[in-house]
Amino acid sequence: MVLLHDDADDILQNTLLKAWTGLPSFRWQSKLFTWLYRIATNEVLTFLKKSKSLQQVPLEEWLDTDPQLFNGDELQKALQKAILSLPPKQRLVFNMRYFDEIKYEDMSRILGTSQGALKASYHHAASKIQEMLKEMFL
Amino acid sequence: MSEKTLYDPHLKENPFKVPSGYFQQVEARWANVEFPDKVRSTNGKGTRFIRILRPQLQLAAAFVLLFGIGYLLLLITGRNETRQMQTEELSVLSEWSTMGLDHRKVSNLILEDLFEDNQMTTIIDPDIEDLIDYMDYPGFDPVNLALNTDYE
Repeated sequence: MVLLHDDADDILQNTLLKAWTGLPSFRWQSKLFTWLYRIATNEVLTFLKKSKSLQQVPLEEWLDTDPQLFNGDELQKALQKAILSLPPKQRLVFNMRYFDEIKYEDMSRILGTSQGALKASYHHAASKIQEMLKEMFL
Repeated sequence: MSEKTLYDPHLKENPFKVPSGYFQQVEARWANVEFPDKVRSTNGKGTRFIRILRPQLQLAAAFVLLFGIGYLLLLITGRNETRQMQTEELSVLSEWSTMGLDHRKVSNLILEDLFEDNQMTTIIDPDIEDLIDYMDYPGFDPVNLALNTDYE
């Protein structure tokens, strides 16, 4: 979601700290995985919101300039650029479904959105990415 | 590009790298992180039990409140009826007093009529409704406190 390793590291640290301090009040009514993932997604969205105004270099350019960051081929790079064009929440839904293969039921609990809305969001994101990839490789 | 390309397993592979030596440094980096001194533990067993039962307790409290309100309403309406009855009785007594009647004389008359001479009675004050019925008895002269049996 954030591409840069250092940013991902900071978010991971915040997530684990919040999980550590919040663990005594965790009621075990949901799965631990769901709870942790929810903390992580909230941290990511908060970070993206804050960094939007501070970002000087667009994230897409990091894919081209930093070889240590990205190890994929041109098709994978095109896919990542297409994903970056999506709004943050839609990008989150796409990544969770496409890469992590999380069930809509669990995703609904993590994001607090209905399954129908998530399916619609993913389908829309997938169509958009398909179109962008077609345009890039025509 | 076909529509199936997006679902090519190759595209689902993670193309991002972790900086070299990252996992070796993780332990050292996390050792410098300041954790809170005390883990926030807001719940002992007792408060956790209450939190679990909170919805049921709230429901029970709502029922108690409703029944309490209903009981109060019944009490108030019951008191109003008694007050109304007392007001009506007082107005009858005041009407008698304007006619020159003492209600105690009337009650004594009732007692004489109702009971034999040698019958023990525990009643000291007859019911006001009995007094009113006595006053309404046909042939009864409320001024002279005499009963005319020849009224027919």
